[in-house]
Amino acid sequence: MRKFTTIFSHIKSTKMNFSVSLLHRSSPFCPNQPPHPNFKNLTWQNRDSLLLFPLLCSRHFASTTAQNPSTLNALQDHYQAIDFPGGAVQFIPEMRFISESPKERIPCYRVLDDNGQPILGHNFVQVSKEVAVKMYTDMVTLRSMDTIFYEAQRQGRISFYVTAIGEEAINVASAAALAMDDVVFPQYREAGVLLWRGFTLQEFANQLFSNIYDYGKGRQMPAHYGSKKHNYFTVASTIATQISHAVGAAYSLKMDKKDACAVTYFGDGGSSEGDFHAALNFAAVLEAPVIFICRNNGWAISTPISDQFRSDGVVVKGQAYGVRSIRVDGNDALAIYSAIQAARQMAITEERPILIEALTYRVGHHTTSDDSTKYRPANEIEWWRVARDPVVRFRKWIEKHGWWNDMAESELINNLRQQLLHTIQEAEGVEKPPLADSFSDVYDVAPSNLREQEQWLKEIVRKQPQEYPTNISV
Amino acid sequence: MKGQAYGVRSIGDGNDAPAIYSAIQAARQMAITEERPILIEALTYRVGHHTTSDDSTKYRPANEIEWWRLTRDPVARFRKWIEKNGWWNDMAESQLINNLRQQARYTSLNPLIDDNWIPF
Repeated sequence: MRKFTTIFSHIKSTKMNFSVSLLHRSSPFCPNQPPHPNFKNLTWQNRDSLLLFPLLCSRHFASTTAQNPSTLNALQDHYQAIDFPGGAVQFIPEMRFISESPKERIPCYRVLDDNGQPILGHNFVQVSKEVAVKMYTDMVTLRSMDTIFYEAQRQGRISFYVTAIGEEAINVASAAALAMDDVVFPQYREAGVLLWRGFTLQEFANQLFSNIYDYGKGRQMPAHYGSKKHNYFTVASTIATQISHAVGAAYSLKMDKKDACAVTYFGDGGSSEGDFHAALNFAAVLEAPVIFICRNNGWAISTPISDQFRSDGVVVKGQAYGVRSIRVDGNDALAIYSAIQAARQMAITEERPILIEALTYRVGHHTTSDDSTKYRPANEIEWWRVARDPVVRFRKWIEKHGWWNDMAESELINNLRQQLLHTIQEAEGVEKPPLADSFSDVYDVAPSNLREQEQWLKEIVRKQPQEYPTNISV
Repeated sequence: MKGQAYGVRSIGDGNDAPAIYSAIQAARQMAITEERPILIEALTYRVGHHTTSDDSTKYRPANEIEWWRLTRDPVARFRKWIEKNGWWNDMAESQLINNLRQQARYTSLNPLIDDNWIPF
């Protein structure tokens, strides 16, 4: 864009009147309408010619007419361009390199400051009391879930867990801005989206304990939730694979003329996978209604973003593929809510992908297999946990509106603790899925090799029952 | 545009030999002395088919191919420049083409390379 402005300034300096449609969306080069060779190359061979030619550039410039020889010379210096696929490209005598990074970093949209106060000139989508209170209670619920389920893992009652502590605003506020028909392709730190959509605490616990009520039949690691009813695709731990899936789903929604979009979440680490780049390019070319939400929490497990990027983060990657993008304060629930709502509107009505980089921080460890104090300083963790807490910030805002108070807070936390402990007790007491479920659902009719494997496994369990849990039926 | 997405310095040019030469020389200097990657987008056109397995007239218009072949030929453009500098002439051109024709005939043992054959 800077380069284009410079060219415009050059044209202005010749005192010619060109009409430039800066907002015009470039249409891709269409082979069915070949460019007319006579107007392709806007160059004169004969400098002394006084013939007046209509000066046609490409679709981005209005026509104009040369008036006199001196103007012809001026135009000749400034008016060499080529109609290349994607639109006109200006030729210049300067060897001009585009810098590796803009001088100024892309600014970040926010509504509430760290104290929960609207900033000067704030601009956001109004949210009702009901929605705001549900957003807040879901954020608190998500954090309570994380605290208690994390402890359950530490007690050896479940094998694995991953928290979203510090990233609750992205989870819940984005979900609040979406519609149930929007299809969600999560990474693994978006349980809050599923919570907002109505997944119960008991359903979460059933998955974590891999009992017979788990929709995945115990075949997924804990925290790898999925629910067809809630339009929430099952979590896969493989990094970034869900991004291109979202693009395909978005294209399908568009073909079916649904009033909905696909939404996918990934971390800064996911944006360094090849799948991310292919997905964004396909989304732009297919003009698919998809929202890419990157939770840039500064760390890809133990790799800081300073060792991952030399660009200005993730938001600048959108323009490389022709995807509209914005950078948002990920710890500001109102900013996330407003940005996602606007993105959803654009994605659906304009049939285009949108990239959102949400700046945030992972206050917890990467997973229960990680100890993040090994690779990042304790005071950094503490600063984000205390000074930039998304839940506390939003609470201050709703309290100021008179929609929340200390009594409601205490009641909520006590209820949550009781409910969560109850769900664990319930889930833990239910039997595990039968071994046969390990071999089902891949094929309509199980092939012989799978049937053989199943028989071998059953024989082994029968011969050495002491090696296997008693609450799994053979 | 893709360079900035990755933190890589970039420039664009194409069928202009001196521009390519200058850009690559500058890029090489920066790459070595500043220890950094450089991305160059060279705008050009594939006048021939993709390969001998392809017939590109099936998916792009003939006048588009012809326009690039004649009007934006990088070889013809550069020849005009070196001729204007007095470094090349018709006689040198004929001699070059004749030599190339003989070499091609010799190396390929192809009797079909007749006196009207030109390398482009």
